[in-house]
Amino acid sequence: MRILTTLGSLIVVSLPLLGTAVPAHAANTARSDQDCAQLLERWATDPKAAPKSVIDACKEQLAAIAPAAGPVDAPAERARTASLDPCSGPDAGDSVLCWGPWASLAPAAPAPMVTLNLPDVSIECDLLADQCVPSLILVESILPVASCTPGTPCGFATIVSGFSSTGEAEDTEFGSFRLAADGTDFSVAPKTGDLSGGDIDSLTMTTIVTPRPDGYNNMRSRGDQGDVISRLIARIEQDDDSEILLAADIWTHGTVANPQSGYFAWGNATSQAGLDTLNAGNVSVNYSGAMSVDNATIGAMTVNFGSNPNWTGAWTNPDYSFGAGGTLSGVNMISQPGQFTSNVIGTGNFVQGALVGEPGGAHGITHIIDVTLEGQGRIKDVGLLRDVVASSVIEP
Amino acid sequence: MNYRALAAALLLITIAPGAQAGVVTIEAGTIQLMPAANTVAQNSPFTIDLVLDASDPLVPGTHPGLFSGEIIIDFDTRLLSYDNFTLAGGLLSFYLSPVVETIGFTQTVHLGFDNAADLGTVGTFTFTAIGSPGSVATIGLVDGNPIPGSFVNTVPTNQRFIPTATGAQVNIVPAPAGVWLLGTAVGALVIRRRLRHAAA
Repeated sequence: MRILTTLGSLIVVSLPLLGTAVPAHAANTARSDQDCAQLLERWATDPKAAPKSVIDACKEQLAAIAPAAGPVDAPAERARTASLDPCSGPDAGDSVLCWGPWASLAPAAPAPMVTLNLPDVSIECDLLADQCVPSLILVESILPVASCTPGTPCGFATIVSGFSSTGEAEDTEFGSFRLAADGTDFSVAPKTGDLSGGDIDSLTMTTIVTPRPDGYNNMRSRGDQGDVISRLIARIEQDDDSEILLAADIWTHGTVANPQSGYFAWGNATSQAGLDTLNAGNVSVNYSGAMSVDNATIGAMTVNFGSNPNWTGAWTNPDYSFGAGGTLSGVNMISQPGQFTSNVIGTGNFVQGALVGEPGGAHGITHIIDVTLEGQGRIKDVGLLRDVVASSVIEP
Repeated sequence: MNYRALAAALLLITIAPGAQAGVVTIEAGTIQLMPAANTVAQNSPFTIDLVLDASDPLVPGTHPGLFSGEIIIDFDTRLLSYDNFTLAGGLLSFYLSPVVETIGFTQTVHLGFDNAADLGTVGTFTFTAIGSPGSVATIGLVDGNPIPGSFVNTVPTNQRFIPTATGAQVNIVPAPAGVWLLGTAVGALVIRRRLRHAAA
């Protein structure tokens, strides 16, 4: 199978043409030509003599009889109109009494060309099947951390200085996280950095995997080279070939003098086929789990798949709770500012996530949150949520 | 590797205050060898328990939780002989089975465990005191992965904490006088019996 990916630069949306503009003065009472002439003469000295709609109607009425009277010398006519119309002169633009130096209504504007700066369009084509599947990839600039592509590794991490993995929110940065399928190395790319040239690349590590009572396995990965160390302590879910499907928790890398650490949540982004299945089924899927930085916080999200997929979520801690909602584009989730609960204050709040794993298998959401809560301050966290309730079809 | 970890622990203790400035560190709970002080007769076997106390509310995660960590003990082979380490049972398991390493007169035992309870014995070391009477054997205890620290509460997610580690001391004393007397009496009986057989 050969996949061609074409990146488009813009989605252009055209608004419906306003082809049937209704005259604002359609209901005006008809006046005689003489009344109109007198009105225009009064208006020449007093722009408030009559409503503009009435003046315009008289202008049109008198103009309509002018052609019948024979050809009109255009420059002379313009001069005559200017002498009558105080809003037609060269100083009309400076008058607070005039709308503008136009002698008549401007024609209706054509439909604007609205350009959305949101998406690139990626079209994957299966030449053998003669099918092309468009997928929307959110432009990096609108997502706090790099977006994820269906079917590829995808993760998020917090980054702090030191070994503790935990720090003040203001000192905590976000980044993309990549993990080798066997757990022997990882990369962390701060912000929207490119993973292939990630700023933090672990050493090659050895791994020890032991079972946990909660269905995950526990993996400890360790690498040492000179004074550089790399460590992972992670919950993982593996396939039959021991390849890691989902992982979360602690990463550490650096030297004693310059260490960095944090928490992460990682998986393989849901494939396009998996997304298509979920969207075609119009299913609503619930996800839940403890966050990694503060695991007293339980995240619960519901994704409503379909033609216009969206999500809602709530994060509950013994000390606070808040909610958010947003859109789903491909595998990428981003909150909408208007969908936060009222205790989320200030600007710059966001929840970003990605669907990982395949429906029916190890399936979940990796996500990060950065919110300022009334009475609590700023909170940054990262978490892996698992699907917890059987999918249900959304009633139309 | 054990010595590297020990060296790393010392290095961390030496320079960490500067390197860790302004960084949150969750220092809570204890891991210790008990009894902390013990008196043992020369050439006698004895046991020391490895006890974790992670019940401190400052230890992150859910309580009761399930705790995982890695330790290294070290001691002088002229004073003590290591016999074995056995887990206390229950859910406990090794993620790193005991590894013994000897350099010079110092021996280390390095191990990692999973699923320890908030408070209780993780396992038991068995030694034999081989030093001369009057000597004091010190058993050191450090985090087996001191940088960045190996201890975590795994419930509901992995979160690291740094317990205070405390080793133990063993005072080696002569075997009790009663033992000498009993040994002498038994020896005398044996000799007497052999002499009688020889005379017959």
